[in-house]
Amino acid sequence: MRLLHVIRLLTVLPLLLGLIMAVLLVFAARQDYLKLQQLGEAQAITFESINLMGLGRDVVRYPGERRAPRQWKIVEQRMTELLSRIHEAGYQERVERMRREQRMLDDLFQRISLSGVSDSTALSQGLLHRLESQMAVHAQTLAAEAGNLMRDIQREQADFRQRIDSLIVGLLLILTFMVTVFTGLTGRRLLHRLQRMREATTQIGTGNLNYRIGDTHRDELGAFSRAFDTMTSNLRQVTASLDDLQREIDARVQAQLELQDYKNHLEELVAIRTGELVQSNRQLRETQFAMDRSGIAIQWLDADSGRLLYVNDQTGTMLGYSLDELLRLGIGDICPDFPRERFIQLAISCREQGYIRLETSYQTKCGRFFPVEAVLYYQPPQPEIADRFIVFATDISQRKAAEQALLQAKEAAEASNRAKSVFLSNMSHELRTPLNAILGFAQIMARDDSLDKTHRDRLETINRSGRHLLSLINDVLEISRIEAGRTTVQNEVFCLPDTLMAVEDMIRARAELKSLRFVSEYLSELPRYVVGDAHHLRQVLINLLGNAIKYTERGEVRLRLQVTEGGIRFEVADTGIGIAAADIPHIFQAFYQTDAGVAKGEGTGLGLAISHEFIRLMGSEINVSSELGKGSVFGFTLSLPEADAPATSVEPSRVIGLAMGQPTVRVLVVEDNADSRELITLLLNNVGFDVRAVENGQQAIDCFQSWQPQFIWMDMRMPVLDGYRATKVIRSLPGGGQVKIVALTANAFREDRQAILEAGCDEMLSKPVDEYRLFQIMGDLLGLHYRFDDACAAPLAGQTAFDTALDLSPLGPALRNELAEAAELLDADVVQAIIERLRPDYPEQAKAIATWIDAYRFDVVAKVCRGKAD
Amino acid sequence: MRRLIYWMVFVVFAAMLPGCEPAPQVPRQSVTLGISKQPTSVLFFIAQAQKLFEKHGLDVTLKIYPSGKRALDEGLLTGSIDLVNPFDTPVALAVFTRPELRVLASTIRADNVSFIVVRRDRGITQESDLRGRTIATQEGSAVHFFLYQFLLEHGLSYSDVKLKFDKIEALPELLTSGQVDAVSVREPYLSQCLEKLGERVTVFADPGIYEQAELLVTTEQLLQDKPGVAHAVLAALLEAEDHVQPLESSAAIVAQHLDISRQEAIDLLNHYHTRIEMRHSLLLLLEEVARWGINSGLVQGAVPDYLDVLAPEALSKLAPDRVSIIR
Repeated sequence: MRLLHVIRLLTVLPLLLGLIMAVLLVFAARQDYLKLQQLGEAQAITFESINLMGLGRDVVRYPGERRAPRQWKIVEQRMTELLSRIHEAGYQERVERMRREQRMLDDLFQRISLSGVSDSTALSQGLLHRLESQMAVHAQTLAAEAGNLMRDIQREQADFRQRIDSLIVGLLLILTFMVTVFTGLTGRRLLHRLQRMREATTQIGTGNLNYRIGDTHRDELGAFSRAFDTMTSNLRQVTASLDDLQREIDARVQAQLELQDYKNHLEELVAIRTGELVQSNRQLRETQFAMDRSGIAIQWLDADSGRLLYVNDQTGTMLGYSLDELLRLGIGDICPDFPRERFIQLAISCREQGYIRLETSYQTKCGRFFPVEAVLYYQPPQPEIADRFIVFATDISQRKAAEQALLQAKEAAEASNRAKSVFLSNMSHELRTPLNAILGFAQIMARDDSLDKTHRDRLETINRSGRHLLSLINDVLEISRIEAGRTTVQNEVFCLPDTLMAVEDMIRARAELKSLRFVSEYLSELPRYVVGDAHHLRQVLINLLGNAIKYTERGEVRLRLQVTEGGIRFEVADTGIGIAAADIPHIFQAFYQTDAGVAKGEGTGLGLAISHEFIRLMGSEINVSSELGKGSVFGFTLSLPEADAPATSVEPSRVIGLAMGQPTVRVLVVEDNADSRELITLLLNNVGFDVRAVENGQQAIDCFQSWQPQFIWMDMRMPVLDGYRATKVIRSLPGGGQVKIVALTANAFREDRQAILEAGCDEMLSKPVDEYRLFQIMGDLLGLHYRFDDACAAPLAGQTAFDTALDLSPLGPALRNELAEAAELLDADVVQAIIERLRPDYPEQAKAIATWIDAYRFDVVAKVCRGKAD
Repeated sequence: MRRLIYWMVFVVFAAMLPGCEPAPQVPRQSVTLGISKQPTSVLFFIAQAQKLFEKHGLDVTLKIYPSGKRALDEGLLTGSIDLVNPFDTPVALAVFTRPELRVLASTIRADNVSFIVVRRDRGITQESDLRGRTIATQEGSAVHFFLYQFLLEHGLSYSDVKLKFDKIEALPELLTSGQVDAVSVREPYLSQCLEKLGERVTVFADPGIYEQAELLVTTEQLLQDKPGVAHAVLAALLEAEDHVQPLESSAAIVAQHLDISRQEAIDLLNHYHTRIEMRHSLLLLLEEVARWGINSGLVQGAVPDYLDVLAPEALSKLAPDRVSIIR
């Protein structure tokens, strides 16, 4: 179907249906009008019935009067007309009934009229009433029939309206359906064809002239599509011709452009080359100038013969030849280290590696040699150019002289360092050895119950002074070790809270003595067991907190700890005198003391330096902030990884003899220091060992061979033959492999242990000799069992003995803290003062503490005071 | 096609042009109206005051009579007046002798405008006390018919009382002077009686026993001589009807003509139903009056056919819904 027809159909169809509906509506309106007319007529019949009833009454009552009969006839006539119209409208049955009633009324009227009387006397009153009643009955019946007629008409009208409404709605639905279906089908078909057309325009637009719509319908769109396809076909032919022409034109234009480009390029190339040439010449001149003044001698060597092909001015200046003279020489003439044979080897290597750097000597024209650093580059053969070597030679006479001076200085420094180490080692040995004797014999003498109080006090003074001296020596040695770079960190598992508590208790007691408030502030939960150097940490904290208390007169000292991302943050804050800004950069220097420190007259000025170095060794830094008069804050952060709980250790006990059934053990004591030798001999004899003592290594070898001891205490530093060599000799002798040799050394350096063990020793013991360690080592190596002092020698009888023998609970917490602090600081003077104060009231406790201190067991005293005997 | 449409539009406009011409000038018709001096003449007073007669092409002369009957008898029937507004009673009776009378419409209906004023000081306190008393009224008028109805309502007849007839304006004086014991009157004569006698009189009313109608009456001759007058007068009165309400304004006009206060005028107007119409009941009323006239000896002959007296044509043209006569 043609589109025009479709559009016409879409236009005509609604018009047609609209016309039908309009006709229906007109028809309905006409019917409504007729029905309304009929209703009016029925209503008029009702009115006229009422009129007839009234007129009938008048006729009956006033039979002689003219007006009522006259009006009767008028109404009668109207009624007849109305009934005729209603009859024509189709209500015959009902009209017949009404006509009958009308006739009855008319009959009554005629009877009255035909009576011919002019007054009411002609008829009896009863008859008059009956006639009036009959007329009223018929009139009312007529009115009632008219009323029924009205209801019939209204019902028919309603039915008709309903049918018409249904018809209109039905037509509308049909129309809507038809239009929807028709437009939907037609629209979709048209849309598909239009999409084809749109695709065609798109394809043509993109240059695809082969695309065809292919619509074969015989409508307008089909005609358009065919015309479009024809146009596309023609367009393709024209385009093909145009393309050929365009290609030819493009080719010609392209050729012309390329020609022009080539010409331009050539000109540019010439200009560039010319510029490059000028630039190269200039650079060559500049390079030549620079090379001549760079102090570098440059030579080109023939790759085969080593003959000089080119030299720069510097070469001539350096060697004292003219350039012409040099060009007649070979490399061997100016560098005697490389005669032709070596040059050939050198050339081979240089060819392989590309270049060679070496140090050699050049010889001047006048025969003087001087060192040079030469770099040989191999230049492979090029067209018309043979291969060659290029040598860059620099006079290194001055550098060599400086290196020599540096070497000599280094050797001198190393010698100095070695001397220092030796000195420190000697000092350590020399200082500790007499101290070992002093403290050891003081210990032994203290066991003598026969001594009176005066001598005992003096002996205690010796002990105290000796320990103080030992502490000072330790400090000095520690800083020396640090400066020598020989201090190491011993990472072990330790209980951080215990360590901190010990430090806090000690510091709290000292703070209370100065009426200061000590606050330990844990800002986060700390791990219990950590890996780190507890010894160094404890020493640093005691040092910093001790300083804080020392330099604070009022207020508080605060230890603040917090777990941070970088580890555990330790901060020591005080409200003391503070540090001047000028002092802060120097306070960590060894032996540096602030004015306040100097005024106090205490310390060596090593505490902060040691602490600083310890913290640095543990991988951190101490930082300080301070304000003069307001206080200081020292802080550092340590990485202390959390660890599992370590195995508990057994506290030492005091050995009083070998256990029953133990064999006699031969022990040789090798010690050049007579005091130490006597001390150790005495200790061993007291326990029940068979002891001999000699003065040096040679005597030890002799004694070993003759006496075959089972255990040797070997001092490592002795005249004649030291412990290292003596041990090696003994180990080489028959039976030397079985004897247990333990080194005795006053050397404080832990790192010496390796050398001692390498010499053949089984173990080492540092001086001053710790009695317990001495017996423990022997017990371990020889499998010995001892008897321990269960009665009064509680310190050596195990942990339970500590609790029973050293019950310090009666002393009160303040006094215990004071004592613990002094013990932890190894402050023998303070401990002794406390003991003296205790004697009147607590003689047993005073005696026990004195016994422990005599035994050098400050640690035990401190622990018992802190209530940590377990 | 388009040219044909232009031509059609042109022809339609050309056909409509004559309808736009101004109405031709009609010469004014002079007419004389005989109006009773009663509040029932309110439509005539308003029409004159509002110049509605002039508006409808009339040159009206109003002549005031003491009653409508007087205007009928002295004006219309003598030929000096063109239209009058008597109540139904005198018209119904006059038709016996003057069948050329024509009723154009009724203007007022009222059922409580006639009263019996009695001398209480003479012992008349209730209706039955009228027995044997002398009652004066205007013969052949509405108050006369009301008296008949009143007596009948209360079990009395003409034979039970002594009747005395006089002009209506003379009735108050008869009562005041003691010549009669009672009078049957309407306003403004009722007020005159009360004003003069005060507490010595009693007023008997009987609303509903007689719904009287004031009629606009002319003659067949006038209808033929001045064919447009009836139409114009009715048109003016119909328009005046719209100005009756509110009563405050119309009462002012009435008070001016009757020499009474505005409030009195309002009270009186409240008793009237003012509407230009011609109902079928008018025929029955006229016939009833006629029968009463015959029985009372006021007229002789048969009851006239009042259909011939009624002339509803003019009103049917103006307001067909107001005409309900079977014709």
